[in-house]
Amino acid sequence: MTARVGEHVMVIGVGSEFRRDDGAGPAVIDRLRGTVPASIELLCSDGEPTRLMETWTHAAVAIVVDTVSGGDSAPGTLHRFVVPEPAGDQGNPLAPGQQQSAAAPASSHGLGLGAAIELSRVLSRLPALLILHGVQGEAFGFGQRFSPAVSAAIDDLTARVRADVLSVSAS
Amino acid sequence: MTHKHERTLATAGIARVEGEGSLYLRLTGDQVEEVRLDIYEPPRFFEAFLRGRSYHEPPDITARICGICPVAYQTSAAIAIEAACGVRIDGPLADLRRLLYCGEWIASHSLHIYLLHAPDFLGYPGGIELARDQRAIVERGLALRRAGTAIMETIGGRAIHPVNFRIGGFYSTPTQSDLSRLVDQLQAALEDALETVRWVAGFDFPELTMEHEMLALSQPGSYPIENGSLVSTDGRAFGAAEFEEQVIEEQVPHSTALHARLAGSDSTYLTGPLARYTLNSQWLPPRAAAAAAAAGLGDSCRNPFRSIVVRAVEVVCAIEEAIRLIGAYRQPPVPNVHIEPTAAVGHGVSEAPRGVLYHRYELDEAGTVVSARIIPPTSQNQAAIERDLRQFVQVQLGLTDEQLAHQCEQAIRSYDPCISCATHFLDLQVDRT
Repeated sequence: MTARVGEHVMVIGVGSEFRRDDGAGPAVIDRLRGTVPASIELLCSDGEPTRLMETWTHAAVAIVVDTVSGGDSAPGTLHRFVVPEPAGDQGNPLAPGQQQSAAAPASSHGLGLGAAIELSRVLSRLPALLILHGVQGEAFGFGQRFSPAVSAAIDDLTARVRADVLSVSAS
Repeated sequence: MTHKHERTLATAGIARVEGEGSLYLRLTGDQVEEVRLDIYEPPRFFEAFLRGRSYHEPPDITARICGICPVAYQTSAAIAIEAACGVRIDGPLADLRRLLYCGEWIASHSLHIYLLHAPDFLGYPGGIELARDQRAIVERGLALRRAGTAIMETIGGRAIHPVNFRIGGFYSTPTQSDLSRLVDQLQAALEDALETVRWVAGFDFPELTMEHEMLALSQPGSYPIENGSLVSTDGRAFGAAEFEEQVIEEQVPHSTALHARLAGSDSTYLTGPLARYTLNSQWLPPRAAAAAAAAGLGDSCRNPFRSIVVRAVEVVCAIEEAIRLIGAYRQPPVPNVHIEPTAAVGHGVSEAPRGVLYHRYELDEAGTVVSARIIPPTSQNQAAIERDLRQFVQVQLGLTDEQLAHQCEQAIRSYDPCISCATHFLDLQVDRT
């Protein structure tokens, strides 16, 4: 899909800059500034699902960059997933079919991207195209230093996101 | 017979951070031997991070501790630093802070009521399933939440980590017409909020009466939100400057969070919506007070499960207050008061959606932060939550582990603990002997 002229394209970096690898999403947003068309909206988010949903509701294309935890992938592995493309059975850690809500979190601080996607799907607020990019993280303690694996992957992740941005942007 | 297992109750593919909240239950026969709620606590890192920073920076830095309640962190930080410098913000700038804080209460409480807590009472695994079946109800909650974030965006510049807040006031203040544009949305939200109280008041609530001493702010004449002094149900009354003399934090072996108790007491205490309501229900504005009465709340509330009703009443309160503050607002001549740095210690408290949030800063003569202390509501409540869980579990021992885990999750959700903004799931471990 290519966005038509005037259609809104946004990139959302999800995560906390103070939680080491969790800051990969916002770091990619920083690296994209000045390197993508000015019409592309670049945003950071803590991933609170209603806020994410409200953010991308009016976008034609939303590209979300987040850090991945869980699954069998090695730290630094890059993931890409298009929503609502069927997840298949590859155990893709970004699969929306993994039910965030299957067991509700104990706190409103525990809702995340999975909940945002599912809630948007239920309420018909998914953008026409939603692409998720993830990097497998390994260090989530406090601090602003990436693990070596994520640090080594961040430029490649940024390049992949930029390639998606340029491919969906109106010519 | 002994069986022991560890169960992950909720997982997700994309985690902020895993494993920062866990509940451990040790049961012997029909006795609960041990209840440990291990909650990770973010502020300690920030206390160190703040040292050496300019006195202008803590509101912006501490806002990053929590994406759900950044205004609470900004407000307590600013009040503490201003107190150190001998300044108290009042008039329209103080009113704007209260209005901004109302926005945060509305947004935070609405999120918790509709997507976290209500599904427990209606038999849904979560908010998404509730939305699938009862879309109009969830849309009402989302509209309520938007009314809160609209206030935060108008005053704070954006809803997450507002950028317009600073010590001394704001970088710029909204015009009267900027705020007046919010009124229609808030009037509609007020009706939604009143309907929310009626809705949640009809839920069936498990019986649980907790006996803790309760601690909340008091702002005589109004419901406490952005400032005040401290009062308790046992008759304590003290100012922010005495907080660390009155609130004793102690290390416990199983948790990175300190456990808190009140001076002179070996027992637990609770802060948050139930404490606020119990200590201040007489100061609710008229429509919130009427809604509380119609919901059968009475003057106090000691059942954590009914906290959903209290939160709903507080949403009405915050919207009423917001409408009142906007009606009275006159744009101040300057957006902030100049704050001259002073070598001193200052203390600040405010009522975050989850309870009393305390900050202390020690500054040098250049305004550099020498030391910082942050005591969030969840770390104060942790011991009380454990005590309530122990009481709750004791009468639920006939349940299977799975049922028990589900019931405990519901009980913990009643407090909406700030486990960590980066936490995804709760691990439960049960030892039965």
